[in-house]
Amino acid sequence: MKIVRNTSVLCGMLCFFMTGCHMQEKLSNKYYLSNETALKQINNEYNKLYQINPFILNFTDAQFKKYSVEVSTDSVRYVYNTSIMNFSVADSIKRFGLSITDLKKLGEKMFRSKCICVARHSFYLDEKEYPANWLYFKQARSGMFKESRYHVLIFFQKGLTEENRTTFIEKQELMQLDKDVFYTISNRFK
Amino acid sequence: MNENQLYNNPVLLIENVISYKEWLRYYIYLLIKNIDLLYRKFFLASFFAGSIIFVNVKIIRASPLRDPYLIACVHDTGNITSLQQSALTVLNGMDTSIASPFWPNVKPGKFYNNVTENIKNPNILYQGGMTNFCGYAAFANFMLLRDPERYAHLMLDLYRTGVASSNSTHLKPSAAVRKAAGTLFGKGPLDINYADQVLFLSLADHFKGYMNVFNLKYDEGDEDNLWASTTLAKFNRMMKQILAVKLYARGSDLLRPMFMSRYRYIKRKLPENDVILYVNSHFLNPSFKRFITLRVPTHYIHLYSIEKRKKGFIITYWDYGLKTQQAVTQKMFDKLIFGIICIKKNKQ
Repeated sequence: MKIVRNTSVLCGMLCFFMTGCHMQEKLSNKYYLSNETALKQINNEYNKLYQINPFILNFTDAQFKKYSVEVSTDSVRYVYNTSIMNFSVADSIKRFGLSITDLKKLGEKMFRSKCICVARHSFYLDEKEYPANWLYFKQARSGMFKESRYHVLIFFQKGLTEENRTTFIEKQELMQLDKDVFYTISNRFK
Repeated sequence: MNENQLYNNPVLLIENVISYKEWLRYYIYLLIKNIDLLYRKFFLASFFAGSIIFVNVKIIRASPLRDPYLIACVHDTGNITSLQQSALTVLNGMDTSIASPFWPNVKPGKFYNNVTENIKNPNILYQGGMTNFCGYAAFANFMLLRDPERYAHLMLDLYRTGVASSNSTHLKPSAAVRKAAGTLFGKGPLDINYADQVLFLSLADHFKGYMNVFNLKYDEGDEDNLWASTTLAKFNRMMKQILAVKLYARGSDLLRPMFMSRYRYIKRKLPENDVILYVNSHFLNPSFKRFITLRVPTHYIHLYSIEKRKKGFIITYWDYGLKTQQAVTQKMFDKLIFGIICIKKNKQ
């Protein structure tokens, strides 16, 4: 009887993992409220650096020690990844006008808020561009054989009208946290 | 930042590109050139020159910090070739204000503008965030580079008549696809690139592989699903049937090419062929480790160059609307490639 029970428990666990542990999970509203100032600082700092040259900062290990910087010019994207080749990212990004000290400051703030990546993607509505900073957090459960998905906070850079806001919420399945701050689960990195 | 601006900055070039050997050569050249000066003020000048060489060599040797990417200049010059020019002339006589009844949501102005921009700069072609259009985007990028005139004719026929023929292929997109083009949302610049939407959706609707068997008809949101996926055989079929090119492909959808050095093979093929790689994007963009990383190909990239370094390779490729240059380790490189598609370059 015991063996049967154990095997059924094991089978249940196996099924649970195989189906991708589909449980409802969300980055809580409480998290945003308790870290609001830190998150807004990350957003502002990223905005400042982004104006110098567009880039994506992405941590590639759980200890927040290794990272990759994707710097884009008008025609080329350069990916500098410290976990791949141990050359200095500091000197490589210098030619784009970016400073490693500023990046480190941003990185430290991201580490404190457990933000693994910061990037800028744009939404388009009625052929108008709405740029937004995407702050990626921990991985969301997406199933064993599916693409990685992340909890994301989206900071819109342009003030949205009430109509636009509802369109974005409906079409992109966003959840509003603040005036121009939204939450979603996404697999979009590029 | 503008790429030309970046490369034309002499300070950056001196700081980053010139190796200490080049510095030495430069100073020896200066010494020889000013030999009469040296003869007259030998001690002072040689001491001065020597100290400069010493300091510079020391500084440059001590900094392994030079950007390795700057060695190869990868940006496009922006000059329009004769092929592009002839493609643009096809568009010149068009009335860009007449909307097509076959594509109700595609605005004509934006459509023609998108086609023109693609012809002028094929590398800006963007597959869209979160979509499975990478195969079609790689195909379109290749078509724009190899035969932009054919691209122009194909796009015009598709837009104006709702059907298009190229070699043995007759594209006739379904009503659902024609209705969906122009309405994609949340895919980044693809949202406003109507011509790209038309092409990707039409190709996905026409070409089917075994992966598409479970979802043959387009429904809203299928651009992110298996409906839009492209297997290696399907990609090859697309190239042969639309572009009538002779290609040679190695690899498969499940097993990596079975030969010893993929690097040597690609390096050998690159000078005479256009090379498109079928890769596992998890190893191209390493992020947080997953519990299980599926060892299957997920993405197509157009490879421009590959250079061997001490511990790996520096590759330059096109994907997601830009040329990308990045380093990959030997281990990553071995796990990365599932398919190598070589297409003989045209003799110009």
